[in-house]
Amino acid sequence: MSETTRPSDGPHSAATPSSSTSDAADMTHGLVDREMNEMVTVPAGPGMTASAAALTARKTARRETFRLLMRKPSFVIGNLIVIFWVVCAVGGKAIAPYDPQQNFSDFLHAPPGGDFLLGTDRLGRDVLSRIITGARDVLIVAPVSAVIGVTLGTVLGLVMGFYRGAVDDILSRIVEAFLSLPIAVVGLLALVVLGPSNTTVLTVVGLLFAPIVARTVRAAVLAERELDYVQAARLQGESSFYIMFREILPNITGPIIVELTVRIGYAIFTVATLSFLGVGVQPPSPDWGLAISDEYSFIISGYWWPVVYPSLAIASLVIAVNLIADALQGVLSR
Amino acid sequence: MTARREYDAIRRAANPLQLDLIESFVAGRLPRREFVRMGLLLGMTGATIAACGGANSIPTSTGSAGQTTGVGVGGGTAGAVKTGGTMKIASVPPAGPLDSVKMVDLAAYGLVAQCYEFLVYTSGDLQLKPGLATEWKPNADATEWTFTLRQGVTWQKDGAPLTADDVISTFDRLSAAGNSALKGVIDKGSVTSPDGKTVVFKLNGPNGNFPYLVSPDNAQSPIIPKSQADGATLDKEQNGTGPWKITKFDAKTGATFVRNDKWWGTKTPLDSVEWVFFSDLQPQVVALQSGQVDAIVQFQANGGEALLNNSNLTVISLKSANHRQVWMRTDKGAFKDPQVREALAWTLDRDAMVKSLWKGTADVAADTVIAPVYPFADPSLPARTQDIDKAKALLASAGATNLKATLHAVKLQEIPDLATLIKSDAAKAGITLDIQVEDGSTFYGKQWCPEKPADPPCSGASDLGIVDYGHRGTPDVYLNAALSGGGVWNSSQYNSKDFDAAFKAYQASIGVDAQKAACRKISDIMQKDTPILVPYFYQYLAAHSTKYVGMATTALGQVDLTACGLKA
Repeated sequence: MSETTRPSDGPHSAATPSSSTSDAADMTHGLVDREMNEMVTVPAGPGMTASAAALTARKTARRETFRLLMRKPSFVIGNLIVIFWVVCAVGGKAIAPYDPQQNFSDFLHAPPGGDFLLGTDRLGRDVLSRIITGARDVLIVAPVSAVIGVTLGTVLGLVMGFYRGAVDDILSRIVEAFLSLPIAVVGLLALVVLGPSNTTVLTVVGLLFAPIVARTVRAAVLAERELDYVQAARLQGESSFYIMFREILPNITGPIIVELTVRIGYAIFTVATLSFLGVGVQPPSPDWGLAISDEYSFIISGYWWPVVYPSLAIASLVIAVNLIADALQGVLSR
Repeated sequence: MTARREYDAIRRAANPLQLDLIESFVAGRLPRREFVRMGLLLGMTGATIAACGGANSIPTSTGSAGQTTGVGVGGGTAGAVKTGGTMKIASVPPAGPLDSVKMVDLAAYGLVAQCYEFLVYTSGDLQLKPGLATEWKPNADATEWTFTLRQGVTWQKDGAPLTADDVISTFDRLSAAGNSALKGVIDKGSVTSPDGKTVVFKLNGPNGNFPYLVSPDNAQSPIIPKSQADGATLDKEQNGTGPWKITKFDAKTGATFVRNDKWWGTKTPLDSVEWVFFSDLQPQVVALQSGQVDAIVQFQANGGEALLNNSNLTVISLKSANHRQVWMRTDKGAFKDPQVREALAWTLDRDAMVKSLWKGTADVAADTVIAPVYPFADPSLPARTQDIDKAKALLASAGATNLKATLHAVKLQEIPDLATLIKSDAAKAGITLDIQVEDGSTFYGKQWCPEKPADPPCSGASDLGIVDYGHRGTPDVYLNAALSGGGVWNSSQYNSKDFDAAFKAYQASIGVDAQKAACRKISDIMQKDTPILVPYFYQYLAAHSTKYVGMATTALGQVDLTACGLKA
């Protein structure tokens, strides 16, 4: 922690009782931190210590949040769809009816039905098997790139919102410059220069999302930094690093989680777009965006199924993630 | 000497090369069709060929100037055509400037060939026809070829007549530019004119197929005026001797040509021709189906299936030497051992490739560049059929189990799908290939033949990749550039004394039997060493509306509209 490296900060340290409230709220449990801060004033029952009461309160708050979420149909439906795709991603080849790479050269562009429920593609590969196994790539690449983007964006947003002044001005202008660039175009350029690979895709998408997240986090930090608990921490002589990451961050996890969910949805879309443009994942990956890119030219000949089904897969996953994001926003910002 | 005294008069008039040809035909070693092709190549007259019994196959176009440039005519017999009208043709845009000496893509070839003309022309069955040269003949050992220039040909720009100096300067420019077909065959200064009416090519060695190298097969060799500056492009320097004059050009949208009323040939039925550029195949297919355009310069069965069985369209299908080469570095890396290269060859399911990627519009190939379309190809040469056990045994013998490599592929037509099929086939023998698909500039510049290191050429190439090769009337370019030691496109860095000697023997071979034998030897060496894989030769497909007749094209995209018009 920073305070151990700054002994001259004064008599206060992380171990002082005055900071115990914020100590109890760590990043993992930050979701319910606001509720917990409100509830610590509830008198503890006989025989209960203050920290035990806080723990109970936190559990109660978490349960309450979950109960509220489960009452939202959008959250339930979104999760069911996501769970379906997660099962496909985990099961992969084990649950696919055929090897997704097997070429049935006697069944090129076979229509849906019969042996091939969703038909075959131009090389005679089973569309259903490729959609099932294609879920794995997108469910790894999209969340990882969203996490990279949200992590970087959060750090950037905290710094901008907390320091304000020249730091904020300079970083804000840079962020605005980045925001003015279309993600697909920048992603395309980066992938052409760096060479296409899954690692490049998730790094590029993550980096491009960071400025967007930074704006959201900055706005949240601006509201928080004027609150009493931040002033109290300042008065205690806490380091800026400590205040940003241990005091403010746990209190803005709500918007960050909503942002993360929204970003996952966008990441799915962006990754599919880059694959469609031919700079994302490489063949013969069963990636959905790549399948659409490879097959859309055959629609003119009447072969719609290798395009429509992967499109529906992408749409269903994006909608599901957005439903969850919507529900989370509704509950966490109440 | 073979009997048949009735040929004696012809024998006496023939030069040694023509004599060898006549003897092969008389002895029954040469089919009639091949006799006609070779006879025309060696400059025999139609009357001589007819006298030998080859009359049935002689092109009917020799008498009509307007049709002499006819190549692979599609739509059956031309029939009666109306005069007038504008034909719209869909094409991809040219990849570079319309500089005839330096152009490298089919779209540019097609545009330039409307205005500039070649000394001789080839038909779909490889028979030669007069162009700016009316006659040609070799000396006794085919080290010297003499072409007689057509009279009455004028340049569009200033009306000046075509001269021997124009021809000489054209080939000097090509030699200086390192033309892939002429490199090593002629040098700057090899072309002279003794009388202003003929030009003489003194070759570096014997070459029995030389006229093909001054035909559209060598797409950069149309004749340009001596006065034209180096690097001049057709759109800026509007000129030529051909049937069409370019009046408008935009690299993104298209080009317009109008009839050249001063052309030496028969008046073209169409008043004008409009080229419409589309970057992808699909919009071209839709445009042709909807009647927005009247023809398409080229399409593939995969993606253009809708055109194959459309009763409103005439499809021109040309068997060709168009192919893909899978190169493997023979000097280093995972494929240095010839057993490993052969193992990969045995994994390929070529029939499935032809079926999946070409809907049957291709022929399985035997890992040689001597395409079946060439008359000197040996049809008995077997193609390798998939044999995974054999591949595994070869890999084990080479100690190359668990082989891993990156397969580079250019994002062009069916090539990424070919890479997918190769990966899938190779996996059956335990070879793991990672596919890397790249755009043209990255692929050609970094993987196939990087400029540096320059000596030997292509020594910076990747270990494994797939590259596209267009059609040629003879396999000389493939053999010279891609496979000879130090060849300018030799990305496999293949360097074999046996091969180089066989290639020299082929170039020097004049008689048909000798050419066939030399080509078989080349194919055998290629199969033994397997520096490249050639999975198939695909057909060149073009199409036009049935409202038109008489459109023709070469397998290099040089569309000929001199006899084309609306059906009467």
